[in-house]
Amino acid sequence: MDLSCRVHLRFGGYAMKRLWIQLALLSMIAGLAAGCGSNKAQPNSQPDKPSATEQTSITFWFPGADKVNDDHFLQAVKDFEQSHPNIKVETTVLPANAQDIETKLNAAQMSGTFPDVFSAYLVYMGTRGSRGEFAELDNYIANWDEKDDIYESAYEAGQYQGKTYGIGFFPAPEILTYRKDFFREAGLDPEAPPANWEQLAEAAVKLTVKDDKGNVTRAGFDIPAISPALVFLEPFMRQNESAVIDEVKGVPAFSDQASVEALQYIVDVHDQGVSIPYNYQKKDEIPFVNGNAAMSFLQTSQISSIIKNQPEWGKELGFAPVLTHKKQVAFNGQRLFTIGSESKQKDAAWEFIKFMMSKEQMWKRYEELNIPVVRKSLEEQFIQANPEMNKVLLQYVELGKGKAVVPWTSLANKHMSLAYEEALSKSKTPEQALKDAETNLLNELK
Amino acid sequence: MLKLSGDRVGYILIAPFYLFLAVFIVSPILMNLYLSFTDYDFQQMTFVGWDNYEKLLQDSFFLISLKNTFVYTLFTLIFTMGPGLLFAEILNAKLIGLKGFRASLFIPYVTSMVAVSMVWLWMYEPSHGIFNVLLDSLGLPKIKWLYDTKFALLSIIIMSVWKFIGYNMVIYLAGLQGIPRDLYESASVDGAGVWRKFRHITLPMLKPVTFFLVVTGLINNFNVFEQIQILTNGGPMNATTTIVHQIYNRAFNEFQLGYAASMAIVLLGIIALITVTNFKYGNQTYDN
Repeated sequence: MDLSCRVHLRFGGYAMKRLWIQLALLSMIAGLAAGCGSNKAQPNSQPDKPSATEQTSITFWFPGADKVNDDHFLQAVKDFEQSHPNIKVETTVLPANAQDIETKLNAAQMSGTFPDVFSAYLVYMGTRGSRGEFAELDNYIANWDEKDDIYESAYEAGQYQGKTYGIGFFPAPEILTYRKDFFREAGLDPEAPPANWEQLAEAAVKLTVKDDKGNVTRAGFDIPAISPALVFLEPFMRQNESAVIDEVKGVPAFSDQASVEALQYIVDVHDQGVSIPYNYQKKDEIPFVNGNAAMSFLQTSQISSIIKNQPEWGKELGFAPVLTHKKQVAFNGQRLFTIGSESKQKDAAWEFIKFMMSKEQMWKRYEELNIPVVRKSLEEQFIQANPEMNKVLLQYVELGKGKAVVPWTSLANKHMSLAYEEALSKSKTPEQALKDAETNLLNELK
Repeated sequence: MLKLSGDRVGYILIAPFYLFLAVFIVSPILMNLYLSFTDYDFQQMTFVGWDNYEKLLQDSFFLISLKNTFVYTLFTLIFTMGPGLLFAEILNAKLIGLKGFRASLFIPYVTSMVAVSMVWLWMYEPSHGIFNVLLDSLGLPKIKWLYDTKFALLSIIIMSVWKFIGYNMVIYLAGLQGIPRDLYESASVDGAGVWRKFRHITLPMLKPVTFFLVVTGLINNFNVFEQIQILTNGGPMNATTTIVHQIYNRAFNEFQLGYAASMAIVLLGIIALITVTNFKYGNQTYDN
């Protein structure tokens, strides 16, 4: 091979190689640029109102709890799709923890993928309703022929500054549940659960079982060591006539004497050594659910789960009436159906909500999840179905109050839960802890 | 002087990676820097200047998280590096079941932090958790672990050390196997014992590895979040909250993105300062 050939092959080959490399790099850069390019969804060319034949798709997010709860809602979606073949529902089961849900909602809000229908906790009416994340439902409700059958409280729960952003469908009372077998063991009347603070404290001590070293092996009463949402403490404050948060004036009110006395009561009962520490937000840690406590505040879904999964002692559950002190008040959260304000399928979303609020679905929710009804026409049937439990349930719903609907609920929770832990651990007196919490909250709200 | 024609291909080859760095690393940092001077709640953005940084100095939650993060980082680093080196020395010898021991030490590192945290949550359970059952069987008092301010951060450190020690062991093992054997043989000939060999050969020869582990360990430990969120959520009484945990809460629970961004910039500054200090004063080579 002569020199010119070798040169040609060498430099010609080298040039070809360089060309291939440059082409490969250019295509990589082009691919990267395409991948980073705007991915805005095409404008929705479908009309908002679903016609009888046009296929529409909506997204539905709901907080998961356990298999029983999750399966129920997934089946409800299938039932809706059968009765509304032109509307497809993409379902997402969320974590149960409110904080984890916040993360997903924030990501959805920023990426434009907020769900069309969202089963919201009551607290979101203040934190998110105030920011315009939910659509107003007043017009839809006004044109709904079944609107008068729904409890007023279901509408009130979803209102913020006079507008309705959600409809309550899932009253979520925290019911004082107890073990009748443990009551019998401790020599207490299983049909006479505690009705006030004094009886609760007395029963808690008698029901506690300790080993020979003084360690609690069975709690008399579940007192959470950590309670970020204050669902445990707030009802005691209200039972002592504290407003906790003044929703009318929009100011905190949890450092008053009534709140201090309520927190002191909890601390005093705790100091008797009647509980096993746990985190109230971690539902599977609750000692009662694991058979290690005699009394606890539980949600209906947890009660259903125990009855289903723990048949040997699930039948021993009893339900105490709403505790009373100066006032008879319980904690009654609420879950509400909401429609995303940016939803392009609001009408289809409303069709789904109407289906879920129907008599049939509401009764099914009661049968499978023990969720109290919010329809007047189902009240009698509800009580007749299980007079012992359902009368109590309705009492909790009737006398219950949920989290305050203000935009700064999460800030209030942060400071109040710190005060709760400080008082329980004795690093501050209840008075000092609540006073500092309110001061710090007001400083943050400035 | 650069020969553009000769270097052009090289620049083109590294261009995609710098593009990636610019788009996914530098740009978010610059956006975060801008955010830190605003009050932004996902809806409205208002420029507030240095207000967020001034607020940081008076924020007791942030100051506690700063302290917790330093404590966590220091102790996790010490107890993963020291014992990591020790395990590497032991597992560098010819032992029966060597591969099994190495694998069992490394498996925690490759297991998901979420899964590990859930298991340790169960083990730390105050009444029936396995640790307290063991303590009780030995006649020792039970500990409230994650519910006691004195033990909560320690509990998380113990779990983190268990998880990360295997990684340090593997890196040190690789470093040990790179040390020429003739250095040890020469030392033996000169009458050096095990400790002198370790001090004068092993440790100096492992300086680059140690430097790498210190720098990466500092960066990783300063960013601790998952185990905090799952095990304690920052409690009890903020005893375990860390800087990243505070950033998360401020941004996603309290809708204070601007304020959270300022915390992130402070965290970036701290890590950058420590890393630069390490590079400046740390010994990256074994050329003495």
